[in-house]
Amino acid sequence: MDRLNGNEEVLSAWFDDESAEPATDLDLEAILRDPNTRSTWGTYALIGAALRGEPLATPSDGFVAAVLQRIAEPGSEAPPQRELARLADAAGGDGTTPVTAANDAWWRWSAVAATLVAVVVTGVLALQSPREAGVRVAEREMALRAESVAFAPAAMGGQRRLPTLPMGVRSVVVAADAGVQPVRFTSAPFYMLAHNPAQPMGGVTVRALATPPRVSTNAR
Amino acid sequence: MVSIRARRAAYNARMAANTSKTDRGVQDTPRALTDAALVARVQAGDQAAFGLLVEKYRRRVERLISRLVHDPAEVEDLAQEAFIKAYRAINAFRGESAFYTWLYRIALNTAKNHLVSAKREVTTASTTQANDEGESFDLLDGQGTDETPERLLLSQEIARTVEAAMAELPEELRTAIQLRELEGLSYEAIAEAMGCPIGTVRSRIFRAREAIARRLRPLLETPPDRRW
Repeated sequence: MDRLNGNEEVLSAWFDDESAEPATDLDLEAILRDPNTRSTWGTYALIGAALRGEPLATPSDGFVAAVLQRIAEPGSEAPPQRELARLADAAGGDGTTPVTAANDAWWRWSAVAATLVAVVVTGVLALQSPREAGVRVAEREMALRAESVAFAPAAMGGQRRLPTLPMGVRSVVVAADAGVQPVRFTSAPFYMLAHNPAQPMGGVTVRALATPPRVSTNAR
Repeated sequence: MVSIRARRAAYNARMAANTSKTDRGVQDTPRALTDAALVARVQAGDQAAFGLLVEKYRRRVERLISRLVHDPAEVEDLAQEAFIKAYRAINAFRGESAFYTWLYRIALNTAKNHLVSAKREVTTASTTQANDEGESFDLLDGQGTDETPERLLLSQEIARTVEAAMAELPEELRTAIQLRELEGLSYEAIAEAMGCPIGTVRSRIFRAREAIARRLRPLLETPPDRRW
């Protein structure tokens, strides 16, 4: 129910986070939907700034619009937690939280949460003995197509499944920003990234969930 | 309910006593529910909700940054950068502190990193500085951050209008909004200070804002291309 409905005293209390009844999602929807209400919100902020001697640029000077424009640019979005959770629920599974099967968004480079994990996927020969595989990776890593994916780590203790990787992928190199150790691991049909529960902002660990698929000796 | 109120009053009293003068108007209340609800919407992908948070806190962020960076154009750019960083890191915000407390740290680090990258010495700005003609001005004055004469004139007009509107307010309305905006007191603390119910405080603050807003609206006409 739209409790705002012209009652701007409620808006004033919400602005101060002092309403006896907190703003619900519908209430915020009403605020966001009505340009007059948004304008009033901005005026309340301006009044407070004027009283406190803060910078008095007006609501119409484009600052907010400029910020919203920049965050709307491709590559600057933060993957929303709820959307990820929704996708995870929709995918179901065995207690892991697969994000998506073949979502192009995951393969776009996008700005993410404070702890960033960059995954560089390298394709290697389909069939190698473990020893040969290691050598082949070393030989071919630079020559093969690499794709970079950046995504937010899962919530503490949670897990994130990468999309299905191209045929023949045998290794994934995980690099990270400060606080996260790079991890190299051997082949698996898909890969997991999980937070180390002892390190909520880092400590990404990787483990395979299943044995590698059997590959023909003639396959590439 | 009584026990929650008592805890809140005690908490607000402690916060009121500890509120830094450099951070007036910011109440790190344990129940910043509107901000929390807005953050939740942002985390769900609602960028417009982030716009409300930007609108609410951009001036405080600019004021904070202006203590370290003196170029008005850089202040605005860094303020935008701080909000962009906050948006990108929004999923890392867990609500353990108030949103503005978290934003404050991001803004402060943004300003400091800028100074480090520009190989400038980080110093605390003095509150006054003399220009070439020997006139002094207050760096903390919001008007000092305007970059164009038109914006400076408009800012001055806004400040004068607010001051005039405040002078015309009945004393109880003026006191209520001052306690809220200048002292950062909660409604409950204001109610205790003024000896009236919380609902009366809410009404007085709203009426004060509306009276000031009526005077400001002619100055704040929003062009269609500037709306968000």
